[in-house]
Amino acid sequence: MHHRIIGLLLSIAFCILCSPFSAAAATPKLVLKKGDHIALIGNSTADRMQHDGWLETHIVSSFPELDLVFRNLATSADEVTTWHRSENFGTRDEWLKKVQADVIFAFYGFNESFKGDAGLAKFTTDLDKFIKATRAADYSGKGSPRLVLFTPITNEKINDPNQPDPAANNANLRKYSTAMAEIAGANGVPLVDLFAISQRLYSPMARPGQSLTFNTFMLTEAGNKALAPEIVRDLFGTAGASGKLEKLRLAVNEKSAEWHARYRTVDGFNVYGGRSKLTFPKAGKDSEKISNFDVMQQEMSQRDVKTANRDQRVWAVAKGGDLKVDDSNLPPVEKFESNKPDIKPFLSGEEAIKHMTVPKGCKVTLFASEEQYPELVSPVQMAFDTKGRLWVAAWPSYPELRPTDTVKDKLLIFEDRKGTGKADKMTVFMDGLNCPTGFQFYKDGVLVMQAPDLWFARDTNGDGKADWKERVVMGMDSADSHHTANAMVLDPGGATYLSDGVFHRTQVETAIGPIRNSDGCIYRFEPVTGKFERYVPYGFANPHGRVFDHWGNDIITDATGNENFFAPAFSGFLDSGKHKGMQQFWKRPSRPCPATAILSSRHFPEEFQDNFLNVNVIGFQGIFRVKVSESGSGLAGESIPDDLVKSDDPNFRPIALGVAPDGSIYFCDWAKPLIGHMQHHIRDPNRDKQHGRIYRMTYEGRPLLAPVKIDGQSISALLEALKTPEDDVRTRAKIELSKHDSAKVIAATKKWVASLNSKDPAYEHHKLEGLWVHQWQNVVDESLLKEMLRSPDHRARAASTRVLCYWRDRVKDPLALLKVQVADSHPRVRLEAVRACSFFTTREAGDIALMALEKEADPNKPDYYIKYCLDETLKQLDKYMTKN
Amino acid sequence: MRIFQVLLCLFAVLCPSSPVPAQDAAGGETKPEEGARKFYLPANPRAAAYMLGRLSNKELLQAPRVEPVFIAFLERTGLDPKYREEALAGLATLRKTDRLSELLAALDRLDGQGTNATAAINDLAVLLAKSKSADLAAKKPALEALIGRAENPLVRRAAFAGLVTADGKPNPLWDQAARENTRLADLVGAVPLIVDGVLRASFQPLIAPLAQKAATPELQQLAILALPAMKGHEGVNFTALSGLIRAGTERPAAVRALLQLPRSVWQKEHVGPVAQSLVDSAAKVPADQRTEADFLDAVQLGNDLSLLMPADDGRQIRKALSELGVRVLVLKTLPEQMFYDKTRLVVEAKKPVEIIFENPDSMPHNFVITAPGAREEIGRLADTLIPEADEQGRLFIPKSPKVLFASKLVDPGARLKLNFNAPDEPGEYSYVCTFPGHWLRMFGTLVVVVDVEDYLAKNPEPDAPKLTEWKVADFADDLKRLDHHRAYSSGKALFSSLGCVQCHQLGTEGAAFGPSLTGVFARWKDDRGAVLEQILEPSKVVDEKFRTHSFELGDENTAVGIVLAEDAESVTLQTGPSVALIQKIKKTSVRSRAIQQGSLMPAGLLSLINKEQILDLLAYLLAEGAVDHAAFKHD
Repeated sequence: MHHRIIGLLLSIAFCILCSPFSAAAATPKLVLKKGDHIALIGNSTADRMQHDGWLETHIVSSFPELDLVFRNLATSADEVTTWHRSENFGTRDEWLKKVQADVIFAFYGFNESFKGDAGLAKFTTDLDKFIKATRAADYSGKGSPRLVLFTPITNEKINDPNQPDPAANNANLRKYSTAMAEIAGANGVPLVDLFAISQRLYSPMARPGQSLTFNTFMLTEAGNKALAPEIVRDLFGTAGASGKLEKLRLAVNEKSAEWHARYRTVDGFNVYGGRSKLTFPKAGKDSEKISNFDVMQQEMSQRDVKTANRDQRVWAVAKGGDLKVDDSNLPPVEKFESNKPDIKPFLSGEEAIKHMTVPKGCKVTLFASEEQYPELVSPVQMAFDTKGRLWVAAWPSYPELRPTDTVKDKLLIFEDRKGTGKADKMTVFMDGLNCPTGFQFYKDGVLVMQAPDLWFARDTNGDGKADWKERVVMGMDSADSHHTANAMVLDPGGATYLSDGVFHRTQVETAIGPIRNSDGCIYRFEPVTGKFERYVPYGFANPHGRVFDHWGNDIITDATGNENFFAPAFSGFLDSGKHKGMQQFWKRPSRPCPATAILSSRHFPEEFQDNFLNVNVIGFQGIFRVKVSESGSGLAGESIPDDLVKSDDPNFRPIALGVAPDGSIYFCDWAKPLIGHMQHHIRDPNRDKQHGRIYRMTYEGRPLLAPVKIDGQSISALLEALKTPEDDVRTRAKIELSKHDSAKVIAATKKWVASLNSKDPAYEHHKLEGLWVHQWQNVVDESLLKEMLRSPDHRARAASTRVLCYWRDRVKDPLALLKVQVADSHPRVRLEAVRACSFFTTREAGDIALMALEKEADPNKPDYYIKYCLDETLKQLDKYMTKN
Repeated sequence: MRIFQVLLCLFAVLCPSSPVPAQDAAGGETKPEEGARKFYLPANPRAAAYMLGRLSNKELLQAPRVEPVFIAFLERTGLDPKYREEALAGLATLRKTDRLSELLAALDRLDGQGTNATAAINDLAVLLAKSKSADLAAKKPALEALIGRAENPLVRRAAFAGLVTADGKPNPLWDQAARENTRLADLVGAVPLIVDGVLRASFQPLIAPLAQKAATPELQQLAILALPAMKGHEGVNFTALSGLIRAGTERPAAVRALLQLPRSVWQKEHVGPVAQSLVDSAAKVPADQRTEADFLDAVQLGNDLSLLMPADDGRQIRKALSELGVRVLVLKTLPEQMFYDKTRLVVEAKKPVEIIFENPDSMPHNFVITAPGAREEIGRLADTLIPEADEQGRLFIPKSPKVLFASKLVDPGARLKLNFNAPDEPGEYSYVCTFPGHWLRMFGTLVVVVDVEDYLAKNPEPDAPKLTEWKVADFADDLKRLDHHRAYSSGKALFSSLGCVQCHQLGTEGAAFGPSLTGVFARWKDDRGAVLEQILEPSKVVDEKFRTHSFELGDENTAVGIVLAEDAESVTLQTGPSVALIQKIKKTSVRSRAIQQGSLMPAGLLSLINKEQILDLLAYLLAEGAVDHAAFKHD
């Protein structure tokens, strides 16, 4: 009782103290004029508003006669003094001028707040400078803009044990919001105290167990729906719009999507950056030249006009009418000839098989092609779901969608219901995409990469089509669309990875602060917790290949040079910069490589088992096989002369591959005569937009595997499936397990581990799977971890050391455990221990990493990867390696 | 061992502090200390050696003198021998041993370290050979033991050089060694290391026959390579080496040996046939091996020999060699001098050229070809560029049609092969380093001609620039001559042409990058020697304000310059003599930072000019540029 009263008093006191601007004002904080252009700048709170359109809809419907123009310039992780964009994107001022901002809504303070008390003074100064500079500017030609500041929202306490406790953030956010209010007051600038408003909204939602954010700090559509009328009331002193807004909101969203495609255009490096300056002859050698910039800027002008056309419909709907959008006024885009006119005609999907050479016993058949499924064009990624269906991302718009394209990119599902080895059903799961460079299954849905955001999309009514989606990661850059985040594998513990290439300026907002990176990097994302971090910042050109082996070791492939790396050595933590150059694990015969896989299937004979498969699309057009063996602390690859596939069809471009539930191998053919991003104009007319194939390879005379049932299975059945030797089956079992109640899964897993037969040759691996299920469920089992750290199998010890690394904040004295691992008898375990040390922030961690040297037979000739990893770990820990 | 433990303590080193708050990562980090941090040396010897291994040579030299630091001094590549001597003395004191024991122990340690240790072993071998023969004599058993134990022949040769020096004569050592080919090879290989020329030469009768015929190719090669060290036998050895080259016996070794003999002993009658045999054998070398050392040595020797031949014959040889493939030129920088080692390169119009560009200097340099007469224009443009890489990853390359070819910056100690086609139009082009400020000194003429041979015949190689390493002492009697009879125009011109004006203000003239020179004599209380010393040895005393700070940035770039301002968030850095080169670096983007010991001002600025010119320059500074100053009065 007492607690409740105190709580009530506190919250009243808090509202009074911290929201001096939240009470409805007698005179409106902001007066809008006819034809005002309103620009939103700042962090993800503003960035997200353009996708659900609630705020804009409420304002437009409150002032239907004013014909307002909204342009959202916000980008996740923006701060008042940061502008992390790819080359030649244009400055904030330039963009504000371009959109002729009369009114500016500035959402700052969230990303800044992670600097805590130490950063407060600078933030205050920066904000003050920003206010003064903005008011001194004239972006519209009509005088200085009217500026409104928006504080960060309060981070929400969510009823999900996997989400962080927002208390620490909120202490900072309160300080930053208060500082914003003070600076705004001192400058006479209106401020909307979202910190207070959001806090008021959370409690009534929390009672029925609902929330306004999905991860404590990013508002859902429902969150923005609740917030928008409060903002309108606060700003204008009016009750805001009521009644049916859905039609208007859809019109607003249609306009905003067009603007988003323009402002955040993918492939920026080719639209406005360095490679936009590349020129190509218009009509044969020695003719006048035309650059990517020339053409792509004409397309950008089309997008400007399309956006403006949709503004008009918004105004019409706001006034209670409607308008048919008419895009007949688009400016032209110049046409020109291909610089590669000598295109070889396409073979049919069946005919192309005759041009393939495969090892004796292997047989290739056509699973699907554009001939039966016209939607199957330029397949770029593939994966089998828990139902055994093949999902394919189709990218006909490559390198990216044109403003006038009607055929858009898709996520397709193929089924072979009769078991004939041919697709007999195809469903379009998602349409209207632009550059779906990666996807991966998660719980009952799928994570889909479409720059700049990673979506979680679900089919909630079972019709095979996505009908629900949430942007779960925002700010993945796409300066070059063909190295936008891709190759989304799952690791054995449930994290997924995004491979991002050069030229990019990715910045992602997370619950513990912004993550920024320049150029190539592989990111690690835990969908369960929302944790997002730089995994391998490295001088990659375009990393496209990514696999985990049976024991959780990963191999990373940089496509351009087909450089393949043993990843544990260079995935230690660095808080800035990137890792130094590292040796390759296999002497590859040619390049480039768009995808890799591991052949884990008993359908194929012994000599194929666990081959590293590496596809190659220029020169050698086919799939290399690589024998992988242990070497020191790492792995070493050796080419197997008998390639898995080799074709002399110049249009054959294998691009994605994987093992099916029945053990056969599927591979996609991008099917293009012309693939170079640099060698041909971005809009070269000979870029094919019509072909795509999926092939299937079996081994004659060996039975196919009986697919292990996954979909809809019980927890105990799924745990038994973890004994399956095929890697992909176990991954699918863990995906399916994550649909079940976590507490039940964990309880059953503990029982299952205890019941395992210790005589089973695969006992240590089964047990390791038990540990990985815990990691997947984000539940720490310290005693199981400790057992596995001392497993008799060094591969299990190494994998468990990796788990320890990611549980370091939740196990007792993790460094004491690492001290044992770093003195392990096997170098692989020592390597993982050295890597794990890089994640700590103490000198002791450095001392422990250095202990790895003790086990080297000759300290002058240390194990290559241990030395590399130690160098990089010390590079990170140097600043803590100081005298006490 | 006790001392070792005691001394393995914590010590402070001025070394890269890393005030890098977690920009890209999660919060909650322990904030590292700001400023110069305390360097930490782990107690474990392996860990300590590893940590020291992460320091640059400069940082290592600043480390307090404790045992593992001394050990590192002996094992590091590229340290001045004086530090190695210091380490030997230091270790001898710490361990209560003597210099030679420590030297032998160091060689023993280096023996197991493979090819990485080559440079250090070679340095220590010289120190060993320079030791007093009496001291060496006392160590004979230890030297013998090292020879018996060592796997690396370089270590065994060093020990043999010590034994020979101890004995003062070849025998009985030679006779004992001759019983075993490996031992004999080690001894032969040791001979060039011997410091005493007379002692060395006493091996001539023993080695000369081995150069003609030996039991193993290795032994013969070592004998051949020892011949140039035989003082007083140059003539006969020239004949011997010529014969070997013509016969094709161990030709690469013989070529290398011959190149080491002074040209004064090259005998004209042998020159023609040797050159011809080099042409004949070079023609048989596969094209892809024609940039390798053996081939390049042969070509160089052929060209050198051809200059002693009758003009037409010599031209024939040069033509034949140049037609054997890519024109390969080796261009180096001169350490600490800001010069290329060649002021002229001659190439054939339109033809492909390969330049092997080596940079042994301690700062990065590049190689840029400009249109005729455009060197200064390009240099000045480069001075205004901010250090931002262009599309090809190159820094300081102006976007100008007058830049015909440009390399990346080549890091200290690195080499780069540059391939380009010579310009179509014959003429005198420039090659220049466009690192800001360097263009003033660091350049040469790229002569593009139709016929290289014809050009070379008519225009012999220019003399290398005459460099004088001036010392303050050289001016002991001259500094008083500053007060009268100096040449104003000479002083003024030098102030510009030497580049002083680029970085220093004098009165109203010059740029404010380095310290102002107005009143410089007054600041040094009219100690003229001190002012001169500042110019001759700019790194000796560096004003705190003008210290060179280097920042390793998150994007792998490095920024080096003078810190103008610094606050909690950023550092304002000037990287060169122009306001365009002032940049603000966010501390969040700094991966590490270091204060360099040296000054940004290059040494050797005065090494191209004579004493009178130097005095004119000093007088110009003294007069602060005033033409009516007494120094310029002529009575």
